[in-house]
Amino acid sequence: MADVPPEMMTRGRPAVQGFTDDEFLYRRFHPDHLDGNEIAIEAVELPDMSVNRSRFGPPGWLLLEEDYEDWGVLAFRVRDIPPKREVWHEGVVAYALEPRHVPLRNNYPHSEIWILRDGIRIVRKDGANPGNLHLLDPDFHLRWRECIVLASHIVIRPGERGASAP
Amino acid sequence: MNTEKGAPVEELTEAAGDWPKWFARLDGFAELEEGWNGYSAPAPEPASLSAARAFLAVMRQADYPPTRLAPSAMGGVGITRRQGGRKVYVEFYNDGTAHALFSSGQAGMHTRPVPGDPDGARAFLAEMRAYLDG
Repeated sequence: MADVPPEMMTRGRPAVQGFTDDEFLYRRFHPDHLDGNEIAIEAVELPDMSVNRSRFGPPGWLLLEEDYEDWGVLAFRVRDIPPKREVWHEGVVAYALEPRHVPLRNNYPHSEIWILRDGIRIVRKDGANPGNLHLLDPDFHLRWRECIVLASHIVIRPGERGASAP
Repeated sequence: MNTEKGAPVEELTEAAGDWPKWFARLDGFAELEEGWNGYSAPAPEPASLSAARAFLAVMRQADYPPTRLAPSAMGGVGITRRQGGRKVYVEFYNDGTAHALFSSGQAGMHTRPVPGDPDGARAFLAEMRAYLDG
């Protein structure tokens, strides 16, 4: 792995849960996850999609590892989720999408997009934890991943690694 | 998708002779490992690969090829047919079920489950054609 910039390290800093609507969220993608000029929906996952927040670092930090030097980075704004607003699905189920700052030791900007249904966080199977993905309606799931695709733009094209913010 | 990170992707076209390549590409997804997308994506499991293969066979019968075939960050496999400003994306999940997105971008979208039986898959394909070609 390339040297991690000192400012990328968490070093005891706490998570900061304040997100502004204009803040960008970055996610790296494999070169094969371009479908023409559009990000392919296969690149987007919910719930708990990992992203980096622009408040604490540039998109190029996602490509520092040698394995990712030919990959790209997409960006969308926090307001595209949309955060902290209940989204009524078929008029009966209340979902909410929420960005959460989840710093990692070597990646302070790391965050996740959580989904809550009627206030209960939806999580995927993880080891012995069976998760509760059954609470996530497939229709809602596909629609919101497509909404994120439509709201996204490419800030670093595959093979053009850089470190500038959009 | 090649299992080797960053490897080039072979271009596939709609030529009838490309059918073996579509199937070979799908079979290649069995080699993927958890985290293949640079995050924590599960690898496609036999149930999703088998369901995707059955649907690909229905597409071949109808000589109606996909424009894209790729593993999904959700686990499983996605088959896309894009035409004009529209696309139909069918996602085959690792539990063996499948769901489809019909999208014309900002103009609108809808979804529906995809039947697993051959007759249901053929009926679904007819619906897909009507949406894309209509």
